[in-house]
Amino acid sequence: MATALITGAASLIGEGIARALARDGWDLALTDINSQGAEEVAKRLAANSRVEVRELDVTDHGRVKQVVGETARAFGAVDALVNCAGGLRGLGLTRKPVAEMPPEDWRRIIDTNLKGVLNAVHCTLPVMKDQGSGAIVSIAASRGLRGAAGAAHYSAAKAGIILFTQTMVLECAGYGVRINTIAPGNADARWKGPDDGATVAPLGRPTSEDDVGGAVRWLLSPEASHVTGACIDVSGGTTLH
Amino acid sequence: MATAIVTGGAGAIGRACAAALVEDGWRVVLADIDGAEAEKVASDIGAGVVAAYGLDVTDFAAVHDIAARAQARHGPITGLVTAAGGGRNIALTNGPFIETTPDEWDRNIEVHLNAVYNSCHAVLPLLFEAGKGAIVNTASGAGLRGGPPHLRQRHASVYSACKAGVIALTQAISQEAGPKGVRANCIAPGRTETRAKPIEEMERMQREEEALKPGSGRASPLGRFGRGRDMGDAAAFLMSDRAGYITGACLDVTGGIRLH
Repeated sequence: MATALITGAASLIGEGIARALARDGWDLALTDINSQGAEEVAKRLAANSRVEVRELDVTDHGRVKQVVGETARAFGAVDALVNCAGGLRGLGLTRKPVAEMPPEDWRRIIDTNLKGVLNAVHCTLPVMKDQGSGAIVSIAASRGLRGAAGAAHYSAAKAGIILFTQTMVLECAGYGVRINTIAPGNADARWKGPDDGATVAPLGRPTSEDDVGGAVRWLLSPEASHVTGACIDVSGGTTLH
Repeated sequence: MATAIVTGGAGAIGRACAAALVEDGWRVVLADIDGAEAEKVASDIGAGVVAAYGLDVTDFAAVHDIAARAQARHGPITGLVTAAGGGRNIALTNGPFIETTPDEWDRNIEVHLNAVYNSCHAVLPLLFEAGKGAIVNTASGAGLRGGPPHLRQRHASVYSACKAGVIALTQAISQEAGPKGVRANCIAPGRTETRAKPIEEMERMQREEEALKPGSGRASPLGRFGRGRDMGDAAAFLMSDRAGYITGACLDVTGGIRLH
């Protein structure tokens, strides 16, 4: 069966993606900086398919390369890469306007959310090129489609992922690889308390991990075999454009 | 009298922005990594340029230092145009993304994205202090619509990412700064002349490309490449009171090559 490598797999959205792919029979390489959390996700999956967990800090290019190599050897291929590592408050940062945002915050968000995706694509694409096939999905955000107050760094990084993906279409196509993004809206997350998530989408609820998982599953399926460079808005109507 | 800081002020776009602002009555503080060239541009433009500084916009502390000096000597600062960028000072090589190195992305991101944050972070408090002001960040058509990279475009994917980031950053600032009387917009240049590559050189390359692959060398639907002046005029408009109800916008100045 085909193998998918998921970054940020310990997050709620990562778990939703893993669950959706496991349902389709994908073998899964779950990675996260919090490997304990990824182990717990693996246990909850109760998948019939093969699941392995590896600790991975996506900002460490050398480690990303190592994990991709290990995964390719262990599973025999890396057919899909799902970039889910990132976030803002999930990284322990708070929202701030640009004028009050320390450079450490700016860098941390750009490094994790944007460079993390560059690292993962850079290390995985050569494997897919050798295979002559593959698909990549990166989790962007509705805030990457529209810059949001208090989240300039996060918006910039996520917008960057979307345009990076569009511009990679031609290169990826040459390797037999499709590359797409998903833009969740204000999504459920493990770190959220009862008072969080006040932004209500036109559809009346926050984006769930299953909403994102379903979109990833479709983008990685044969039904989406002619879809590349797309950004699927899964924000419940939050981001009209 | 209104004073604006222009970064990348010695480049083709920055220089034209400074000249257009001066024509509109702004006093301009020029900053560029090439301080000597900034001095030269200042003397070319004349009296409206009140100072020229050497400045590496990727240096957070240096950007804040220049902003503070400009405020002390020529303030109140009520404008910022960021036009620093381009491949000239960051030694990028050509090639597909998988053949590039993280060091190259870092340089690209430092100059084309992080530096814009540095400049906005340094100048926004000055604009808030004045209770008014405007920012124009130089994005790119490549940040509006990613596309098959142009034959000669270097590091197109990471560059597009950076410029999309600039647009999103500017949108965020527009939401934060609006209530304080400050507007923030972008211009998105297309295939535009640079200091290193004037229009004539671009036209020569265009003819080469056409010979290689017909149709590939098209400058724009308007039949020509962008001039620095085109960008300067667009930036000066967005900086002016005539654009007083425009914020969070990205003005496409690509001659129609990047529809969105």
